[in-house]
Amino acid sequence: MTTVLVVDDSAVDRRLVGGLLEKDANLQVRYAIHGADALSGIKQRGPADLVVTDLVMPEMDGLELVANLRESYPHVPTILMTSRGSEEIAVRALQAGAASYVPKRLLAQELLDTVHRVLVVTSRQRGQTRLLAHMARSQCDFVLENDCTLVESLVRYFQDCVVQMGLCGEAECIRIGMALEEALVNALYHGNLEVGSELRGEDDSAFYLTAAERSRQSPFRERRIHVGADITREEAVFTIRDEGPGFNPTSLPDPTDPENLEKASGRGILLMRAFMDNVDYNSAGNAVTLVKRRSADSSIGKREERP
Amino acid sequence: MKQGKLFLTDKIGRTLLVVPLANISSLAGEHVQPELNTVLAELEEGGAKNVVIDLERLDYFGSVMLAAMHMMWKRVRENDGRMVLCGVSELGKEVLQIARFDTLWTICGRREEALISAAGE
Repeated sequence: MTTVLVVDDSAVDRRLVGGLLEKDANLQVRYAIHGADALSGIKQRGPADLVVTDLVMPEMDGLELVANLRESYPHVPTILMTSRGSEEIAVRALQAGAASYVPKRLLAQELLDTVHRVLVVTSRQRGQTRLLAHMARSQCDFVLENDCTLVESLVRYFQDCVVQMGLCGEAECIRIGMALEEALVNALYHGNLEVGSELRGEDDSAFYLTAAERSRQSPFRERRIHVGADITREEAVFTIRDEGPGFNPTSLPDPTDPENLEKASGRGILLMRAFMDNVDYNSAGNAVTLVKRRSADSSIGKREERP
Repeated sequence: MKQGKLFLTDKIGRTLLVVPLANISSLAGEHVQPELNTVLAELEEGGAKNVVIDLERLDYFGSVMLAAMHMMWKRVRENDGRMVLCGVSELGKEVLQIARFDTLWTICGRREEALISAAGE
């Protein structure tokens, strides 16, 4: 039986929505009179499979409820019931993570269809999340062109992997993403395109102009970034190698030395070292291995799991 | 007030308020640069002496944002002005501490406080 929680401060609307939903014998309906009441009910009786909520309510409105559910019960989808005048708050609620909306004047025609559609999608996602919760190891290799947008997508992919593995919570996940981003950008600009950080400082224009020119010239444009990841529940090991000539990481000035605060180089590696447990370069200086071990906050951002 | 895709700027007295609007990652460097040049030009030619950077819209930032702030600071210093940050997230504060930039710039909680501090009032 699928449980739907209807949240509305109007008793008439609650009855109307409940009646529409109960036309489907597989749906069991629960009720709450505002957002705070909904959360309290969820705490006492466990989360519903789906929440259908009004937007303008006392105590806690629909927007706040969506944000709370997103934070604490990310697998519980929310459908908004919108009425004239609540469009702005509806847009914000959709941005905050609501799954869909139905105008109140069209409830009779559209509510059940919308509920069924959202439940199908959620069921697939939930099944996949449950499966991934049993993954013990993930190994993968990527070969990237010197394309920033691919780098950005790869960082997001790895962030999802480490969170799914329960290796860290959301806070550490952001730090891992920042370290990977710095390493990948170093590989792209300093490694493959051989643009030196001495071009930075007074004005970054020369730096990016040179990068843009070289990305169209041989041999720079043919070079690739090779990324390997080995992620288990205990640690994640990322290796990022470029096809440039390499550099000597020990030759970099310590950017935290007051005398070097003026210099533009070294801050990316500094952030990598701060956010990962281990950062090592190969002898050629064109490959860096970053290691992150399971962190204490690994349960903080862990997504809520349902049996 | 001027609003680009990445920065919002506003001149308040002799202070230039700069609000980064998007999470400027290291990846967006070539997109950041033209707008950053506009901000720097305002400092050179627009008559602003001090800068307040309000980071309230950024959850975190990396080396490109640090480099951008550093460039603004150099311009400000040439004018004997002050640079003050505000609205910095916890992770942002951590990044500033790691780079030791917290030793260079004053970090205030709120924008109003930062504007007063930058103006030297």
